[in-house]
Amino acid sequence: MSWIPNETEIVDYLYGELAPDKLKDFEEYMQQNPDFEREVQTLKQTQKLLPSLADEQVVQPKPFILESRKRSTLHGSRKWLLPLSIAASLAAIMLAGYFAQFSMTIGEDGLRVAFYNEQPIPEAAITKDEVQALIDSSVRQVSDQWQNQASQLQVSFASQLAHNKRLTETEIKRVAAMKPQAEIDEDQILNFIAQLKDENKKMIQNFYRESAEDQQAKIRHVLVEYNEYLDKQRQEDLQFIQSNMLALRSTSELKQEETDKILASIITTVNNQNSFGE
Amino acid sequence: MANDTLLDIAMNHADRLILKAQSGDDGAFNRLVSLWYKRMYNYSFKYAGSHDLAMDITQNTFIAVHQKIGQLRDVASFKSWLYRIAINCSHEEIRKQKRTSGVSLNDTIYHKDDEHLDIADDLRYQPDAGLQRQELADQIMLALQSLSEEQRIVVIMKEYEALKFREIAEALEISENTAKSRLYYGLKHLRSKLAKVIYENKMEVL
Repeated sequence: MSWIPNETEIVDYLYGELAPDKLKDFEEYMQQNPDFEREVQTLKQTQKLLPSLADEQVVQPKPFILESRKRSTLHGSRKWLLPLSIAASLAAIMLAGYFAQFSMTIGEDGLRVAFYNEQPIPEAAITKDEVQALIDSSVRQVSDQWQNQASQLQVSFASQLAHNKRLTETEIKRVAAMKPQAEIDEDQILNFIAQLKDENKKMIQNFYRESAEDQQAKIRHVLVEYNEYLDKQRQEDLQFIQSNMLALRSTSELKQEETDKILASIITTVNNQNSFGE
Repeated sequence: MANDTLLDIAMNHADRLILKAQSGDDGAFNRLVSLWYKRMYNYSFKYAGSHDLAMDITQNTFIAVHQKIGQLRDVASFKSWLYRIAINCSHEEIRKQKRTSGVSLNDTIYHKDDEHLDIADDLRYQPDAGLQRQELADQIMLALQSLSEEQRIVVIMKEYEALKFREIAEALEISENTAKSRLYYGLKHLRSKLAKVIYENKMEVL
């Protein structure tokens, strides 16, 4: 036989890539040349030994690229990317919502957001009627306070009026007593009465103004408290939704990472199998 | 497609990630890195024989990939393109190492259990004891480091990275026959370095 396998053909034989017609010649040549056969077999032994050096396990630093890059692209303008990514994000959210059995309903008791199986909403710590009752009670309390104050002011007002009346009577008596001694100017009396009326009028105006201001302040206080209560409820609801969304995102990322690892493993494993099978 | 194999699905997935990374999607690039990180690290580790160097080479490889991925024309040739970048980064890193420590490109950097290099001359050597798995791996690692750089790259690519000869040829920009020739001489060299191990393990002829 004139044909002698060269190093390329030996490698092809070792890796199972020798063409069938050449394979027959190769094997014949090996049978006829024991030294050659021994060399090929020792190379095979070496090959068999090499996989004992296994892959090292390594932890990948993550994420590899931290900041979003901005670079020119060969694929033209990327202006369409923003709306597309928004649409894709919405689709992803909808998909995630579908898998997480996300539901949102608007009922008589307001907006309801649920993941997975909708759980009956536990009895609210405070119902609408109770809130109304609280407001009523608060307003009633304010009203009572106002009435108390009003009655106190009324008493005070009455006592003031009585005091003024006494003063007037005393003054009239004093003036009457003085009458024989001097002629009293009628105008002075009228002025005095007008002065008294003005004082009474101012006192009543002050009383009503102060009462109104006080009442307004109380009602404002109640409304602020109610607003704070609503804000707190809203914050709690938002936190609940946010924590669910974060949990969902975290689960999705975990799944994605697992998928990538599985695919990486598949690429390596199946590639190896294909390569050795060739 | 119902007839797709797992490999098809995995490769399609990887191809989509490459296209996304080319269009500037850093998330896709990060996922691409996670797909190939282990392979690049292990290639670099077997090439350089040092964990620290392998980490540097791997990192530089992916930085270069990030910078150049827009230039990749054919997604199908990503694998050989990636290994070509890894080879260049390996050269660069070893060159830097050589400048700082005076180590030759072909010098052994692998220091783990260095005594195995002279194991045949070691009077404490006991042929009947047999080599533990880790010791065997160390022997092979040392033998790999003793190969010329050209042979070492081809042996690692074929034996450990499972590249096709066409992919090795593309990555190294040589002919397939040249790649096979380097592999042949590489295996011969390894056989002589590992002869005692083969004898020790009483490996049967296949």
